[in-house]
Amino acid sequence: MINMDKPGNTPYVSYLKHEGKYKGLLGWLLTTDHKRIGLLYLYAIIVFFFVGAILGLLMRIELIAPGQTIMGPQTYNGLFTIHGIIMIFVIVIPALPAVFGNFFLPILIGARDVAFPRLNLFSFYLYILGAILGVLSQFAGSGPPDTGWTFYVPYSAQSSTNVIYALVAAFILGFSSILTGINFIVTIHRLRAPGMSWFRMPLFPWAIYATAWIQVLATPIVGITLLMVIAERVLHIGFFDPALGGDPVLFQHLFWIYSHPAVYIMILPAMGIVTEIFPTFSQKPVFGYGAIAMSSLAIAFVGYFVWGHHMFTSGTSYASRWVFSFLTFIVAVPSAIKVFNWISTMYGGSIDLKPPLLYAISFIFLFMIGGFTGLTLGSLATNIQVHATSFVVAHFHYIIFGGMGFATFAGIHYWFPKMFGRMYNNKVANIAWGINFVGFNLLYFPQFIIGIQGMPRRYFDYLPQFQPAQVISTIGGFILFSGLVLMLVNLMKAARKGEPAPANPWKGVTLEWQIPSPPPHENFEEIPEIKTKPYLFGTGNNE
Amino acid sequence: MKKITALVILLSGAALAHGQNFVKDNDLSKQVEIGIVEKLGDTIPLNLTFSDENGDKIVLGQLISKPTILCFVYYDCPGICPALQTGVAEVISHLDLKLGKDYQVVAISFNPADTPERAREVKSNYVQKISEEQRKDWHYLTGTQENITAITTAVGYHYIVQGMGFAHPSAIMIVSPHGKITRYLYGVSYLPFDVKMALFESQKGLSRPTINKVMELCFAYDPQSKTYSLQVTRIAGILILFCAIVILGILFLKGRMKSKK
Repeated sequence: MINMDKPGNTPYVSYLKHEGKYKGLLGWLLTTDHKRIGLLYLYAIIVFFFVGAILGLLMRIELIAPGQTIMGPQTYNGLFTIHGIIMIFVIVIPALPAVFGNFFLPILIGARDVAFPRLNLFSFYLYILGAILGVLSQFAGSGPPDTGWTFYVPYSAQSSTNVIYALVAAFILGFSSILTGINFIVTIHRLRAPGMSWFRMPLFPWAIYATAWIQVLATPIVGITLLMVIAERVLHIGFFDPALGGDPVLFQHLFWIYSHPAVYIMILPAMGIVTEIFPTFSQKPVFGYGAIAMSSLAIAFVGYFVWGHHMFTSGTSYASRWVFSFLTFIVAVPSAIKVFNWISTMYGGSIDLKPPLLYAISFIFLFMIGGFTGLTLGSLATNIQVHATSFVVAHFHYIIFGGMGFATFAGIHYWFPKMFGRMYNNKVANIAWGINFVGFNLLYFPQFIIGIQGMPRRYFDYLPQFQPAQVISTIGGFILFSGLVLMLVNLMKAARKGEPAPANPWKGVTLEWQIPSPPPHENFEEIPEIKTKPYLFGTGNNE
Repeated sequence: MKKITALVILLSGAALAHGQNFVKDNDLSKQVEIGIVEKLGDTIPLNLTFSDENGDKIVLGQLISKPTILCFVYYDCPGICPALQTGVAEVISHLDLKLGKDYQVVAISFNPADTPERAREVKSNYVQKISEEQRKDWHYLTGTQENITAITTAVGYHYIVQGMGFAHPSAIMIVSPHGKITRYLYGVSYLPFDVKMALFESQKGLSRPTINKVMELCFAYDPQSKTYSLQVTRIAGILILFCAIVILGILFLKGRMKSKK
């Protein structure tokens, strides 16, 4: 175990109260403390998340009955586009690395901050700039973009709406992501505590490390691609638009070369979070440490080579279709390895069913539904049946919201006492979890069924036979939204006047639990020296 | 003995096969009688004189002072010449370059029996979509057999007399302001993008807008598909990978930072 002075014995100033060069609000807006930047991201993301969620809810209301209900087709097109852009580029891609990566990566590897604290703050402001531009695209100029978040050419080269705003927004957000990735890679290589070899590193940093490489390598591709679309619109250079001599399928290739790995930017840190949670709430060493660490790298690596499965119906060659289909099945293997290891970690442990573990277990459940339906989409024959139907919508909401979203909630409930130094109401958190879980499944599961029956995605109207499922879905949407509000209110109340949290409320063994809650400005009074593997839980040194 | 017989059979078989190849080669050279042998980089004879559609004598060297789309037609062609001229007219209306300012079009008849009057009639069919003041920059030339042979040989354009007309290939050539052949584009319809790129290219070595240079960096001519293909993705991909490897190399070389405390 790590030798540290018992926290709480020595008086200290927490990062929340620390006063540096700037005081008050400026002390937050100009901070280079990784923890404060993490919280800035958290607040921004919560705001944008509720904007995106309300947009989603509006779409659900429109779909409660066939025909026009509350909006026309053009408004609907704008809504699903900006819902996608906000949710993907502003929330799920940056959220986990930017919030929990920033806050906990340095602490988990025993560092005082990230390698480039000022660059970190700069990334945050790029993020804000991009996010604001994204929202602005809804209001300024010639109407909300209506291309869908994928910006498929030729339509995005021709649509008269504000596509350029949205493209620039995504480009800037991409840069923020690249800089964060570089920062984390260097931090992990350079700033690990003495004695912390690669295989003594906790598994969340492993996941962040794999993620950071995807951010650095894949994001420039979409950046260049979006610039090319802008050049196409402004200078009429024929990259993608066939009318100008370009190749629209090339755009799809370039877009998905980034945007598929981007799915792993979302899900890998999510997996990292639940990997921290299972051992703590089972009070048992993590099962298969090496397998989990390596499967993160494997997912990141194989995830680069599956992009073509988005294009099975775009007229790509048969050879490329079966290769991409095969690779898609391969990427399921490391994902399954992780699932088996999490379950084996719980097996025989003394399980403490607190809110973080509830969310983590439901993460496995929802992620598996998302994963298996992903294989349905990855098989060539079934893909043709369900392509561009609400089956796809259900699939990726199960992965992104059910997977990444629920893991985020798990992470917030797990680390909340450390971040804010206060405890939340367990009972309310449990109730909110129940509402969220039921609401989520009611909202998205019916979409699988009507998707197979032929309900197309991105339509504001539908045949009457789909109405029962659509009504269930909309009811689920309201239930889920109320659960989210309850969860947020509970946490906000706790942040202001919850009971003070002890340093280690969950009996965790990783470094963040060895320092006071909330942590001091520079995390560690003295950088700890690491002598064992993580997650031993007093089972002795098995090295 | 058997072995020798086998060898003889084998050899004669090989000779036969070779003979067939030879015949094929002959076929090929016959095909080149109708077709195009690219002469990229050659300069066309600028001293030749032709008549334009107004009947004025004109020397090629005087005419070619800007990037030029050159094409060969004959005015009574029942086949692909009208299609080719329609294709050129289409591409002119789609190009964002300005006819007359940025480039011009020269259509030369390879039928010595064609006259300026006939040229005028034919021209009026294809310039409908082009504004009045730009029409003069699409030249319709006629000339003597001697000059026609000189120019078609120089650009590698091979055709033969067949029945009442000619059998001939279909392509346009891009000629630089100095008379150098810089690109062949095949078929009867042309992508505005390809033509634009080709016109940009023909200005190589001359002063020209920067955007042209950027475009040339992004696209390269792919001789196999005979079209321009995107180059920038390859360059960018290699750059990204290179940077990543350098960063990783540095990080592994430097290892962990010595902690301050």
